[in-house]
Amino acid sequence: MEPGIHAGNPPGVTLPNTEDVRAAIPRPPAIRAEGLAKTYAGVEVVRGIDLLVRPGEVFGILGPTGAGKSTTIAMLCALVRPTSGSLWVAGHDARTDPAGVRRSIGVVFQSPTLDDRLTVEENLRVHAALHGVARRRVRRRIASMLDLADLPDLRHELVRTLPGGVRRRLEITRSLLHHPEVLLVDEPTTGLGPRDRADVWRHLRRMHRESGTAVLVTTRRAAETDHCDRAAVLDRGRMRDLGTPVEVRSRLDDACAHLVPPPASPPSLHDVLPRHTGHGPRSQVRKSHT
Amino acid sequence: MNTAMTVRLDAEARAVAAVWRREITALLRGRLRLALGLAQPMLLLAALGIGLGAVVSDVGPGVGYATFLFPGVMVMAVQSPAFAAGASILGDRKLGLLRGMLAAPVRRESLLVGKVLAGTTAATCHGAVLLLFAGAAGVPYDPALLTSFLAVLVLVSFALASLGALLAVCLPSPQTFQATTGLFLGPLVLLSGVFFPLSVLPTWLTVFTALNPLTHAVDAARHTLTAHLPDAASDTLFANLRVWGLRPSTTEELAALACFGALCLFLAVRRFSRPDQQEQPPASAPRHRPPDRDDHRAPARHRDRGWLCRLHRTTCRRGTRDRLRPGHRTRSA
Repeated sequence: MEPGIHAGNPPGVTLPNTEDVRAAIPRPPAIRAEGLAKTYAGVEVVRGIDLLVRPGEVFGILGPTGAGKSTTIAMLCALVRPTSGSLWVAGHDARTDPAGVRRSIGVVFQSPTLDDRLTVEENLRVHAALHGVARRRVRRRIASMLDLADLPDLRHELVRTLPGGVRRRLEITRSLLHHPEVLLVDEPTTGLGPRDRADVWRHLRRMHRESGTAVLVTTRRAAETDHCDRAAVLDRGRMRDLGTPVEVRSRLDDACAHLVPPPASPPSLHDVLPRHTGHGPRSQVRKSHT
Repeated sequence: MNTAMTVRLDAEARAVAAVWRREITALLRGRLRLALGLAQPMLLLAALGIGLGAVVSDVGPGVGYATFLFPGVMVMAVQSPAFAAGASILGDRKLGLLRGMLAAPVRRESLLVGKVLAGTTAATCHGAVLLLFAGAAGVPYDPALLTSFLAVLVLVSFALASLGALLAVCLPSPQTFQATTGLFLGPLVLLSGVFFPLSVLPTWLTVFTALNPLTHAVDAARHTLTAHLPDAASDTLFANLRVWGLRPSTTEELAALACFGALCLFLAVRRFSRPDQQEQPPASAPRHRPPDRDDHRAPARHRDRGWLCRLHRTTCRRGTRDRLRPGHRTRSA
């Protein structure tokens, strides 16, 4: 032990602050996977992917439906055993220490896992108990997290009554309740409208800034990779590309033609609705809408 | 016991309690469902006691058919909320709630035990409500009698909740669970001696009645009743249950119930905690992109298999195609 630290500081010596000390300690990569593969009943869902997520970064996985994103997430949270390959999450080997992996992660699944019969606070309490948040800290922790998420008024609301975007935000908040080192988020914006999507991403970025955990997030929308520090493209169980979001999006057209990014502006209502309603020319319809 | 183990045990106990509280809270929230559930056994007692009582005329002196029926109806009142614990496991899995809990750093055993304990509690309360109306059936409000009834209720609730949990972890969907319980509950109840003394059944049926946990629950409850109701002891309806010429005592029957429950719970926990047991492919594997478009037939590995396998492929493919139809909306991919 350094004698100077406890015996009072000699004049002229300033100790580095805690943040710097913490940053100086080498941390294991948030996620390290090598040749990770999963086969379900003969179907190769994930076919050997290599992944390295650094501590504290937001890493995006872009891929179409059925690319293996959810299976990858399931393997990362030790719910599913990889058929082959090796995987470390926050320094814990997923094969030998699944409990350690689960202790260091927070997960937001694609399908909602909030109990809609309970209130917001009850849901958070169940989560806290299952994840071993110290009993005396639970109340304060829940209050501070809800404040951070701008949801303090909803504490006693039944989850059933909340709109989809708020539920998603709540799930992200809940998954950070136990200070995980890695946050896994599976398609957070699926099934949400444009405003809710923006809300959820803003919320995710904010929670990331406040907690400093590494975040691995999957998405089907190429445009959403812009919210990440780095992004990878997953297609039919294989990693196709890796780089900054800008790089990945620029290469997207050549690498995999079917992964076309969505149009910059969403189609207008008039492109989607049937043209002829039998009530005069389109200009009138448009006027009545605006 | 060292500290690490204590910490671990404490975490597991907390998980059990959390699951238990979640279930009970959710149950109390569904007030209408709760009220209907509580009303059911009373309706049963009234309808059967009056209706069947009129048909069964040769009751002994002192006690009516309703009194004979009471222990049995009590056991029947317990079964549906106890099995609901199993159904809730499957419901949670379907909704994805289970997935969220499985990702928590606690043992799967704790989650299941929490569920079973919640089912036991709910079922016991259902039965206990019926005890309030014991007087209507001619059962005296004797504290000792009511306490022993409560003990029977707890044990039979536990046994049935465990059985429900075992079924739930072995069956794929809530619908299958419902069908299975629907199939087995009828015979289980009818052959447990709720409505008539088992002595009227042919001897070969004794095999089934003796293996039926409900028989022993009903019999144990009935014996505690006769012990406190001297009039009933002489009644032919309350004739002793004989299993292969043996007469099990109340304690033995209760012990058998507890063992049955523990065995079911043990098997359920074993199956539930098997790694990958609860895993299903999260999304359907893609069948609509170029490599597959060339080959519309089932993949080679399915072609030469049995009809069941092919049927499975068929249904899977149809499902995928429907989902891909333009304009068809799915709740979640």
